[in-house]
Amino acid sequence: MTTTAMTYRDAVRAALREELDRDERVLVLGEDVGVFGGAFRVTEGLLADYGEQRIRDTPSAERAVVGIGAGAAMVGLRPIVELMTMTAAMRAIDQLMVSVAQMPWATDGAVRVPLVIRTVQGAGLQLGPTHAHHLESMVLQIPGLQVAVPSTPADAKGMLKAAVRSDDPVVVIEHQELYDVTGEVPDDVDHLVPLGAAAVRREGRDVTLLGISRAARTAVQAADLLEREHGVSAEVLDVRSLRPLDLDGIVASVRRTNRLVVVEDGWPQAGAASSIAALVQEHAFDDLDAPVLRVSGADAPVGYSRVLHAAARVDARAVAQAALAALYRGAAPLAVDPRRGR
Amino acid sequence: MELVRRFDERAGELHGSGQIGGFLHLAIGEEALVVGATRALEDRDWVLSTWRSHALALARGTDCGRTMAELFGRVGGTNGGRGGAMHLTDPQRRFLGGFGLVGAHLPVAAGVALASSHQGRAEVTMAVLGDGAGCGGTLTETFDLAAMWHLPLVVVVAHERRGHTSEQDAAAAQQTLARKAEGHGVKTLACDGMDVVDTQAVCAQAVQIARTERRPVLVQASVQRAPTSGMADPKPSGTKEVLAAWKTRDPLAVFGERLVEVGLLERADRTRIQMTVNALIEQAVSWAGRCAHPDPESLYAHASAQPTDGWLAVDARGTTSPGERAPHPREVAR
Repeated sequence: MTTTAMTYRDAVRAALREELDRDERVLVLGEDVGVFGGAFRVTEGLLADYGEQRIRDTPSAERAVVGIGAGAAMVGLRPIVELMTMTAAMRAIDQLMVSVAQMPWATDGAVRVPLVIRTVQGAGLQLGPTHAHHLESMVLQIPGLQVAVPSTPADAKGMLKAAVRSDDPVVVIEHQELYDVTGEVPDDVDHLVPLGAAAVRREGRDVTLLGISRAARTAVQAADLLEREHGVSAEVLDVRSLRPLDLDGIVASVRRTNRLVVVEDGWPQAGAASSIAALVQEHAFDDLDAPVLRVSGADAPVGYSRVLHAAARVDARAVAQAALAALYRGAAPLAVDPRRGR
Repeated sequence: MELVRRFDERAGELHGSGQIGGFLHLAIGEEALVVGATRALEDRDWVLSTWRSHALALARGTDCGRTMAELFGRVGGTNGGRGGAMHLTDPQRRFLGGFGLVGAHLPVAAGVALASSHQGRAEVTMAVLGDGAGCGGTLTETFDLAAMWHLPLVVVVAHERRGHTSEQDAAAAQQTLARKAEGHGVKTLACDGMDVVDTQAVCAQAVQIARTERRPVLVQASVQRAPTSGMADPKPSGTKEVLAAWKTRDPLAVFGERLVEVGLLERADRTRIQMTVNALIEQAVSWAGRCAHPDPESLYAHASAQPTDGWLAVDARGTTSPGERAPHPREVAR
């Protein structure tokens, strides 16, 4: 299979183009997706090539736009709704829950909602507390929604394409700080990455680092650091999708290494990492040689100041420290520090 | 109208005796609106409603037994007992459902209209809602987009000047939802929602405009629901005087008398219709009562349309119990 090196941004755009070409029922809706080419330039050029019937600019009216996407999906279209940020997506959370996620269940399977929501998270652009969120846990809570968190260009393309072809509603959460990352992407127009399969990014023996979204890359950096500075062999798993979750794959890795650190950029309370940590201790307790540790974003807003910004964020060193703690070679940084917030 | 009325009255009784659970929102007093509005549609058109959904389903032709079974929460129900009175759905009759959240179905209806329009089908989508939804932002967001995209959408507003239990005028800066719609480029019409003939005529006009001119139209239908009290659908203003005043406007009684007066119906016919309807409803109640409850094992059915390798539901009530899982043969590297 031939591949081409391209950025994450170009890979998402390639997926959109290929699916727009393949299926007349596909259309793209969202704020600034047309004339402006997308807030992150993902949809640039689509309006010129596919016209305003298929590339539809909307106002910042997320609840209406998600509801419209849901209705159109129920009766035969394959809409891809772009919500400019995960923060803006929160305005549509009731529509996501009621009109999108629950509809197939509540109608006993009579109504399907093959809707794709593309949205973006991230906190790396020093934009202050209203524009710096990782909120995958907010949608992960909702049964009926599938949640993809691709961290590579190949996955960004393949998972979006799989989402468009799926009869289930899928939220694909892209990451601001990954748009310029380059990687090899299969040229095949039928390159699909099915949801529900984690990927091994790096093999190792001593500890498993499981990364969510951009944190999967942080985990790889941490594994390099652990090998270089501490002689620790860390296995890195990229979760790739949170629902369906590859719990079998995660447990298999834990059976090899007997230690697990889950890494996420989001807030620690009731987050994706907490959920996975709970599942692993339920399903692989006897295989664990240490408590499952979480490394999460700080339990605080992300500030504008460079110093506060850095203090709130997860980096490779924090992940490496947690891995050493899981190996009883250092103190664990507590994900939810009870001494904070006084 | 007789069927919608009698079904509601019977459902109210069954709610009182505990055979129907949850919220049961009655449409007594809205029969003319519900029947008139749906009669203005063709079979190919779509309709979405509020939580007062069983009335809409019946008016659209959904089987009385399946409707009652849904209220009973049984597998024979329109939604297999998963939705209840607020969420009835019958896609075969192009009734895409009752929505339990105020105004939530309006953008969905606009999306259905978008799909029809996008695929060149001359269908119209109708959303029936109450005026209490007019204070929510979703409505104005949707009006903007529906007008901008020339969507064939008909919004029928049960204009009662009430929002849940408060007098709506006190809550809204503007008097009517129609005025708000006009401000967003939506054409508006008005009808007497207590008069089935007027409602059908005006809604038919709205449907015609939406279908031929490809634009959203709002019909403000003035209604007054019956001031019933009781647990099924409590309304605080149900005093004897209010009830007596309402009875002079009762859309079913008024229309029945009118049909007799103009010679289209004998009084005996009216009684025969009532008896037929009663028999139909008792049959529905009896059938619904005999339907099975859903199997608890079906809780996770329809978690996804397509099979997946991953875990869609992760709690202990899933098909796998904690600690009982065999070691997974699959290696992670793939």
